[in-house]
Amino acid sequence: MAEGGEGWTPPFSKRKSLCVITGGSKGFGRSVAVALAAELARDSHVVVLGRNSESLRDTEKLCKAMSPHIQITTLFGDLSKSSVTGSIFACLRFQVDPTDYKHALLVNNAGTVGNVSRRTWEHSDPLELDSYFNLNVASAVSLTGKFLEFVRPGNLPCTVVNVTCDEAQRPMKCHSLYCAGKAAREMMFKVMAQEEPHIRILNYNPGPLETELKTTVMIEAADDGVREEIRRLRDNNQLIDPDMPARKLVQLLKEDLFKSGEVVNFQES
Amino acid sequence: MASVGSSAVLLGPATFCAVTGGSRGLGRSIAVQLAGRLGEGSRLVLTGRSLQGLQETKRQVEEKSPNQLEVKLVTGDMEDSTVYHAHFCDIFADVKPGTFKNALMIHNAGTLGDLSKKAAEHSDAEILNKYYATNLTSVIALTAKFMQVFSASTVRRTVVNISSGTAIEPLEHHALYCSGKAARNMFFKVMAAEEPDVRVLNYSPGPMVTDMLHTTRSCGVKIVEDGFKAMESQGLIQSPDDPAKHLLTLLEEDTFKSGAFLDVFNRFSL
Repeated sequence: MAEGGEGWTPPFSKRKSLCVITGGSKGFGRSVAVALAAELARDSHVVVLGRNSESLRDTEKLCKAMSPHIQITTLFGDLSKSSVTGSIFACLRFQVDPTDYKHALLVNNAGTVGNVSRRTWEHSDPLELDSYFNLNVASAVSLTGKFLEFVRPGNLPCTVVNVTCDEAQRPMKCHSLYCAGKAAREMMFKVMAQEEPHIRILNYNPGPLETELKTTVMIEAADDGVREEIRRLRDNNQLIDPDMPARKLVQLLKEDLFKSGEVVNFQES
Repeated sequence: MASVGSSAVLLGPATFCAVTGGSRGLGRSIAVQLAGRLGEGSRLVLTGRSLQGLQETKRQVEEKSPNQLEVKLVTGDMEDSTVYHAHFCDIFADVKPGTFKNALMIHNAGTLGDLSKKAAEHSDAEILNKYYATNLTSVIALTAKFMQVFSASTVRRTVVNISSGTAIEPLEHHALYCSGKAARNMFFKVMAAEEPDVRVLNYSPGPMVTDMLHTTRSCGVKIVEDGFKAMESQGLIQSPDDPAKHLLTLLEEDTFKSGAFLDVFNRFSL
């Protein structure tokens, strides 16, 4: 249930929000950035992190086209490198004063599916594994910690979203790393929700999306059945346009009725 | 369901068994339980950080073993992934093709992480990376090596992931431990789905009287210490010998569904 009481400001009210989205150069991250831009109050600030400068600029253009009254900042950074989370906020410190805002939102969306051409027992390179879990688990956790630290001077109500998926709970062939990483993240944010009653935390599952991630799996997965399943979803128009769950996410954040820590599935909402 | 088509008994003669974290606690208890059950021509490899601890485990194993079980000790710290290659080669050194009929890998080693920190306070990516290297990357890479070494379909392979209720239910101040266990649980479920010829078990031993429990109990965080007092009053804290026995019984009966998560007290309906 949403918090009520004196002094509480509902998110996305008429007041300014500071939003940070990772993995915003394409796919679901881009859709969320654009959906937020459509709903945020004037002079809110959306910070989009990504690994592709050109694509980040396209995201920026789409957001500005949606709402010219929102400030957009794009930041290039590779979250598979552990030094990056620190440098993101070191950089933002020069551009953003958290005390200017009335609400803070972090959307942990960046993630990769891992090498789906490998079976579980073929993941033998520790450096690759470390890099995978750095990007997909550690960076989301450390980024969240640093984000909360960053906005603390503003004493802002905070919302943290973890973008999750079916594979966090349902084992899927060829997806051993993806399943492991998503399970770790979901659990991490559930623990956080228990520990931090004043932070609103949402594990959001947008469903199987029509994005590059699924295309990669359809082409590269080692298992015929897995490739066939994605192909079937695509042919039956069951891969979801990421804009739809992105808009739903923003609606959920506006309503602010979710139970902190819960997993909400777009396909069931 | 027991695997069909294999005549070898799980813990019979010519079994290769590796147990990580064998220098104390549950790892030691498992090793000692195995001692009486591994048949002739078997080999037990114990890994851990403390040579002294491993030597004591070996002494207890040899006392109990009727078959002059070959026990090999390999020390190493899994925090540094650059040492894995050499460490894993040591674990599986001198495994000649055809020597073993069964191969059993028990991933028991694990660390708690800093219990004084809440999830939102884990902002140092280096510390997080070391944690996941020790508790996740090393387990995955070691499993890969195990499967490479024992690749023949003539070897009956079993992999055990020592898990925890925290893989399923969030526990305050245990963000790293919970997330690492949750990740491992899912990884091994995927492995079970992909490899029907490999028996995979996620085993939750429950709270035990070990150094790990002692660390938790004395971490200085009231909510954690209260949680353990509650478990104690419910009689849930056991000697590690009890879940070790239960685990080996499960392995010998071999009726578990591959990939299942089984708890010593059946606390989780899954």
